[in-house]
Amino acid sequence: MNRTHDYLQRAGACRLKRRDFTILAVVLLASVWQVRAQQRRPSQDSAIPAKHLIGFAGARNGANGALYIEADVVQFEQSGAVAPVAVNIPSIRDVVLGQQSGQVGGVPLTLAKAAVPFSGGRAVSLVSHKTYDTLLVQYVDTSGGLHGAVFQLKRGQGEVFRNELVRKGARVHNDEHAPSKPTAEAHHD
Amino acid sequence: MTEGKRRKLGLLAAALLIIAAGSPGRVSAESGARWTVQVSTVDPGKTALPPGLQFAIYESLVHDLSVSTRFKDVLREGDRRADHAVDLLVLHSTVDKYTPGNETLRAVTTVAGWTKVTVHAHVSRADGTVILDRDVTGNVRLFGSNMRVAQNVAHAMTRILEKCPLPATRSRP
Repeated sequence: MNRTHDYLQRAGACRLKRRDFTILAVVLLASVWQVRAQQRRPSQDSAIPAKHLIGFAGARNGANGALYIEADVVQFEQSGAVAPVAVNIPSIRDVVLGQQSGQVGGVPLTLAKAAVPFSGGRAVSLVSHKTYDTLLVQYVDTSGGLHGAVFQLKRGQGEVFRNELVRKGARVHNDEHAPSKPTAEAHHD
Repeated sequence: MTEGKRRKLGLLAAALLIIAAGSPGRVSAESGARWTVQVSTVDPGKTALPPGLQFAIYESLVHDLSVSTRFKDVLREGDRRADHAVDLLVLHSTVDKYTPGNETLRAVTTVAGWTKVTVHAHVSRADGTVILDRDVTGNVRLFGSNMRVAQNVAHAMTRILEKCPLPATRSRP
């Protein structure tokens, strides 16, 4: 009887220890998550979903991600990448807005449209297009070489981002706070 | 193997070696690898080329020329290293014609909505000697966004520069 009692007591203490350890682990994880969330908050507040088309040194062409400003640095965080790619605002020489129209859905939808019988895919193409803003950021690197990074943003967000850049001190030659006139390509749509 | 066959094989191997060594591509590639090229930004000329596309062509050119082993170094516009480069070529690109396309029209009709750009490539030495003066055309006819025309022009221009014979450099290899 005594032996059974001892065993039960030991088992209870062990369970208590295990429970304490679990609580401690949960608390630790929560605090780490909180710290990381606080670290990322400034970037996430002003982050704009963007697609990098070409020209931002270090970023993959065609990569989707988030474009944001932190202190005096423009950063592009590619989805799946470890560290964001950055450019200092003082090194920016010009920011130009544009518009372009394109088909949505990428390669999967293109293939699906091609598979529709009696050329039905063409009818789908008539409605599966969208107009985007393009944002051109011209900047110089440490050796003075000129770069031109082109991003594709949702309609209307290019202007928001450009205004934010201007507010942070970026040089803009065509300093109108309205988006530049739609390009000939967009005009033809 | 008979003596005659061995001799024929030897002659064939020697002929192949001579042809390979004397091919113009190889000679120009060796001499070209000592040149540094500086890429200037694309001049839209009298066309309504959007700035985004203008810089997409410039960036594609810098990328393609860097990937190619034709040149020792590829510099961007404004790069201070160009001031000290001994064997420097400068690539100027001016847009001659630009036909704005439409991706939706391309997808619907197949035969309309093509995007087409003709760029005049001018390569010269620092002293003004012209090395290359040619028109290059790029287009998007079926699939892909209008921006793809930039890659097509840059690919075509890089191919031409890879084949273009270059003069001997002043510096020793």
